[in-house]
This record gives sequence, C-alpha cells and structure tokens, in this order.
Amino acid sequence: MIAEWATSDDRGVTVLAAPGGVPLEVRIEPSALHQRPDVLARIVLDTAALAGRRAARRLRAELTATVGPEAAKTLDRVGLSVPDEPDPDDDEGFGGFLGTGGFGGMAQ
Amino acid sequence: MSGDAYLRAEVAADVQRRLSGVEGVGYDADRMVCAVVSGAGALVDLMFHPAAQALGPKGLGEAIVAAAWNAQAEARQRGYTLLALALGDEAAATVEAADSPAPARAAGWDTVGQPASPELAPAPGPDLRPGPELAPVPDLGLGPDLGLGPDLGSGPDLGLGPGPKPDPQPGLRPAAREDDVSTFDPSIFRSDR
Repeated sequence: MIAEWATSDDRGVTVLAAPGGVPLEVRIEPSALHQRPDVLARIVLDTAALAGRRAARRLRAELTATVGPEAAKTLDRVGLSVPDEPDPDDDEGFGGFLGTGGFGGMAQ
Repeated sequence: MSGDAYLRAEVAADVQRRLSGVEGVGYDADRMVCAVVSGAGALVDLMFHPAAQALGPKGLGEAIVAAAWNAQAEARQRGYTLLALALGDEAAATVEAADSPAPARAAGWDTVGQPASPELAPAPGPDLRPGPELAPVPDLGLGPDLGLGPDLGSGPDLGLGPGPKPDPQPGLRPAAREDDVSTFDPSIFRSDR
C-alpha cells in the first residue's frame, strides 16, 4: 500500500496516510494533548490531508511511470486527484523530493 | 415496467452523482473519536470527545486510526448499497469480486449472493424421526391409555405437550421458518449491502 508521512507545523502530530488521507498511523506528542479537542482534531485532519496528498502524488507518479498517464486519470475520476498546491516542505532542502516518496516513502 | 425496475432505472441514472456524495461515519471502540470518510476514501472530518485526550498520546492515535477505518468501511458499504440498488445484486457482486467483499458481507450480515449449496440442502421428504419434543404425553390419570402416546400426528392436540408442534414440512425449514434468525435476509431493507 502506498502511504506517506506528514508532520504538523508545531511538530506535535505526525500522520502516515494513504491517498485520500485516511490515517494508517497517528503519532501525537504529549505536549499536543494540552490543546482544545477541536483544535487538535483540526491539526490531525490537516496533517492527514497533507500526508494523503503526498501519497496521492506518489501514487500518480508510480502509475504514470508504470502504465502511462491515462491510468493516472483514473485517480481524478474516483476523486483522488492531486491538487496543484505546493508541498509546504518543498522549500526545505531536499524535502520536496523526499516528500514525494522518492525513497520509498521515507519522507520524514 | 414494475415499480422496482422503474426505481432501479431511476437510481442508475444518477448513480455517479450519488456515489460522489457517499460518506461514512465511524467511531473508535470507546466513542471518543468520530471520523467522517468520503466514498473516495478521503478523510473529511474528525471530531474528538472532550475527554478524548485522557486516552493519552498512543491511545488517542490508535483511536483516530480505528475511527477512520470504521468510517471508511461504512462509506464502502454505502457505496456498495448504491451500486446494488442501481445495477442489481449480481453486478454489485461482480464489483465486490474485483475489489473486496462488502463490509457487511465480510461481517456475515448479508445472505444475498450465497447460492444454495446442494450438499447443504436438507433432504427431501418429511423427517419422521421423533425428537425430544415428542416426549410421551404425561399420564394424567383420566382413563385408560387410548393409544395417543408419542404419535402426536394421529390424535387431537390437547395442548399438554411442552414442546412445539412438529413441523409439517421439515424439509423446508431453513427457508421457511420466519423466526430463524439465521435465515433472515437483511437485503430486504436495501441498506445493508
């Protein structure tokens, strides 16, 4: 299964998610628990969404490389298209490359 | 066109629009976390109970994952339900075969699509073997034995026996008994597939 990691801006939440953002693993720092439930839930949701976008981007790249761009359009049809928004880690050295799963999903 | 077929055609016409609106809601075992997942498998919303943080970092993380996967299973189930309504049970079963069994079927809730197995079918003809419910009628001291003993089918029903009446068609029991929960077909509600 293709999945990617993402970490929240405050480093309190780290999520491994499949394309779409359904989390496979959620790691929460003890300090993050002091936030209000709705705030923490939003952070987890946003972090999962980021991880899901990375996973979807990697899935599309692998599909395109393997079976061609037409197959990648299937992702659009099932609602897993990758939005053209920059990855927040893209400006962190090699984070952009690693963030797309260039090394087998070891993005963090 | 029958009412059912007309309804099916109507649903098929906008099945894609309906599928795009499918969502599933799921909770963890303690109902501390509620997740909403779309039919496409995207995590749409996440809500925590005010006491959710008491689970601790590890427990809360696991609760989030559990809630999200339960929500995803419900979303998939709703998608299969819509497919079955629009395309019929056989087409939906074909999609299941290409993907994975619908969550309700995997959980053993659905009997649709399970063809009758000849080797499992009851033997034809009545089963005349006496069971424990055919215990002899107790002697109430009302008179001589009139020969009404264990043969409950040859005399009047006096309502004296503790057991149920013999099934007049025992061979049809698995399909005919309405009070047997194992024969209940939940697809009649059209919301379990």
